[in-house]
Amino acid sequence: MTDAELIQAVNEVFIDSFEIPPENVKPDAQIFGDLGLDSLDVVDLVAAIQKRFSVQVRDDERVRAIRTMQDLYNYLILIRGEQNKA
Amino acid sequence: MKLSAAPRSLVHLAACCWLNVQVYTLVILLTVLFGVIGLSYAGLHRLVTRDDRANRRLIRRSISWYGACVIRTGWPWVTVRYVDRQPDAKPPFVFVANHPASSDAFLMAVLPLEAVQVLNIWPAHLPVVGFMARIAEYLKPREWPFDEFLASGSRLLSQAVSVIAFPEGTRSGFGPTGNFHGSAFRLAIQNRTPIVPLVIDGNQAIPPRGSFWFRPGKITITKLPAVTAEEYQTMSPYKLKSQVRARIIESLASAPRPVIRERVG
Repeated sequence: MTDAELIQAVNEVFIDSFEIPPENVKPDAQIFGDLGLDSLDVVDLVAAIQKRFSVQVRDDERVRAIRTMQDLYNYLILIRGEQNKA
Repeated sequence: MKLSAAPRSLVHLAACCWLNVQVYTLVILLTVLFGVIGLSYAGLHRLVTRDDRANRRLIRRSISWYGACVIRTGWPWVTVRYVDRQPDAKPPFVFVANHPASSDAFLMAVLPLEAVQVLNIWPAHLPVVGFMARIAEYLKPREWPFDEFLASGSRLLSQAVSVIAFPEGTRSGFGPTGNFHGSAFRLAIQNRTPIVPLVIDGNQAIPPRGSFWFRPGKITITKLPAVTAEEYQTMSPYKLKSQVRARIIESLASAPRPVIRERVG
């Protein structure tokens, strides 16, 4: 999966699981502020991402630093790199 | 004869001063009155009847009466109008309201049914409010594990007690309606309870955020038609809260703007 494909897949999680209009899912969108997700939605988001990308991120401290969609893309690209190395 | 700008502002200032003296004096008197008589009566009622359900109903009704008196303390400078767009709907409901000012909690006394409110952290720790909220079984999702909130809320809904939430979590004042937290919506989904949007308008300065200084105004609380379980069953909690928020914002946008919105901000 290329970076572009990964970004597309992340966007699809937001569009399909949360029914967020595609035009709102932009790299600089704040996940809490602009998209309006709350702490309960984030639990659903983590579950959807774990299912879509077959990764375990629930206990990863780095998840707490994610604020924007771009942060999330970068994090998942990093995770994918770590998985490939392992 | 028309007054010039300076005397008009003096008249306005005098009216504000009178309003605040009147409101705070009456609220203190009402609080003492309801505190002494209401609590004594509720305690006696519990001792005599030993009926917990009836006693909680009495306590919630007393709080509602107290709120109904408090929201009239500003008359004639502050008036409250309640508009019910679906009067025939049967409770219980999960009410979801916007949150312009700290007076919102008192304004919920206009709802003619038994209800508890969802509390933020700080009001639950105020001396009188916190105690009354505890004995009326108000919900505290910010302090409880989410499962405990769901269990307590579900138990109350099963007893036909409605739940009132301000899902912005903080007062919006004159700013835009904030994002909604989904806990009340998830409670409604779990219990297939209709969600009723409530639109509070006109009290942005009663009192303004960060102040205790009441200003005159006309407050309107509009109960919009419910979103039923059949309507929302295919929606995600996120979409549900977004749609309800959009309905409230749309209703606010269509309401006539009070004059005070132009002067204070």
